[in-house]
Amino acid sequence: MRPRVFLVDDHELIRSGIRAELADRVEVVGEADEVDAAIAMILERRPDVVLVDVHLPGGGGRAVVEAVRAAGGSAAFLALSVSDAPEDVIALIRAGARGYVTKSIAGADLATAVEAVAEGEVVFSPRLAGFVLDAFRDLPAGTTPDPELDQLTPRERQVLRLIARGFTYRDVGIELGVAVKTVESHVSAVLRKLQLSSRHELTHWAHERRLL
Amino acid sequence: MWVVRVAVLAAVLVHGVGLVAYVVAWVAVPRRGEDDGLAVRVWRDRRERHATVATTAVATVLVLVLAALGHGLGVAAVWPLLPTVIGAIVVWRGASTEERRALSASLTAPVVRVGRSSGWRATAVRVGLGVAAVVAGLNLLVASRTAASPVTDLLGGLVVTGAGLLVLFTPWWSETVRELAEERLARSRAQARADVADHLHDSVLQMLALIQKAADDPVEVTRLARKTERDLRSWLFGDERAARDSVAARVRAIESDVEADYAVRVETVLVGDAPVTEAHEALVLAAREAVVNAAKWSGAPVVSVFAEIAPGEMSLYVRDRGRGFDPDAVGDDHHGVAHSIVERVARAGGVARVTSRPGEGTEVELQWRTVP
Repeated sequence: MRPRVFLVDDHELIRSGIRAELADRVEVVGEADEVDAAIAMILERRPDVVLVDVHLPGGGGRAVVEAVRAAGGSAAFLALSVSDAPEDVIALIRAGARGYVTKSIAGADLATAVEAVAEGEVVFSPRLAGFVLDAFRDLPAGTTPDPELDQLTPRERQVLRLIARGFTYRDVGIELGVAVKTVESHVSAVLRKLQLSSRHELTHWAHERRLL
Repeated sequence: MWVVRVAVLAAVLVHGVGLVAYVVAWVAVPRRGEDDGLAVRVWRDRRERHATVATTAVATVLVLVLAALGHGLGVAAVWPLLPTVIGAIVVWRGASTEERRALSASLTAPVVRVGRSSGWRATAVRVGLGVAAVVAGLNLLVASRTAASPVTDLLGGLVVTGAGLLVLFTPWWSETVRELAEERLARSRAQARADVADHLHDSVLQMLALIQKAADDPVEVTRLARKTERDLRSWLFGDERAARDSVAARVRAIESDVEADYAVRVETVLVGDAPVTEAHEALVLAAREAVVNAAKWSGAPVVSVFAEIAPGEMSLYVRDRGRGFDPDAVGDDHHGVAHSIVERVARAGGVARVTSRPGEGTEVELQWRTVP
């Protein structure tokens, strides 16, 4: 069954481009170009996947994700952006998005990412893997309130590094000698840590990064 | 309560004892709902105490100077005047912030209302008051030459004339200042807009024109679009990448340079950063060679670069999913390049590894770490 997809992007050209690219593999059930309309229509049409732009007039993609989730919407969110600003992307993931891809992604890859998110998987682009490695970088053991959530395991780091290098989940599995399912569960664990971790580095990290 | 009030009033008649008692009680006794009286509050806070002492001293000197100059302020007048002034100061300093705001608002409100209003009545009041004050002040000044106490009259005349001029011209002056500030703001906004327009014209509009011309050549269109995107992004997201003396900036530069010369997209992912050292430099140069090599030979549309950077440590990966090659075959042109990359990195004290299989792409892995 083709996943039902909703598009939120303030650029008509981008929306029609995505619609054209995804046409054979998903069913686009609606689109919106600003936050409030998006929230109302998503709650009404109940899509499986929402492709949401990081930057939107009226609060950004984050506002859409937060409002829909707060209202009990079950859609999975995939962040889509041209933005390089890591803090915006991380904020959207922390709000509950299940992955992040850049708009320069090839059409077939985007469709694959949408299908993956529709099935409950997590989509880590190389860039997101880099952001996450950066966010969890250089933290001496024992300095955080909750090491369980505030640290990545060596294996998770290994997986993220491979993804950052451009490996697909399948390639990562082959490289590490494990099943693709195992790779997916590592990535889900990283996403959970990213969303639940309370480490204040996550909020200060963006500022530090800007100073570099 | 009224019993107390009547008692105090009655006491006033007995040599003014009631008056003194009233003031003392007002200053010393805490009000309902408060822990401390006025005086205690002023005394407790060191800053308030200093401010009170200082203003009291200045006020005392002023009152004494006025008294010395004579003019209606004999020694007899000083005694009631001085406590009044000091009392007012203590009350002002001891007041809470809200009380102070309310007090100053109620004192200045009528003045402000008349001053701000542009209605004819307010203007008339303003002009009338101002002219009257100026005339009175000038009168005093003229009279001071023949007066009994010329200094007082001279000073008084100056003060009154000045006040009159202030009343007359302050609204006009403040209006002018406000207009100036607004004008300056508008001008700086226009300047900012002109800067943006300039930049967009130089980069984006020119590029769009070029793209229209190259409409038949998809490779060229992609290249131009990528270049525009990169320029615009570095302009929008600030100077962090303009700093060429960081390793991250140099890795980033590979992306822009190679994309400008070849029809490939370079996707760069960076983690961390460090100041540039010789070894970092050698690895970045080797990576550049690897990216160029991939762009030239692999046939893949995308080259991925991943760099993890720290002071004294660096890993760089250049990966494509192009046609690849057989590492065992010798004499091949790009195999020679791979060889030179390995040597370059080895000279800097690092390790390079090239993995490739025909049909499955190539990955160049560069590692360097200072020996602890």
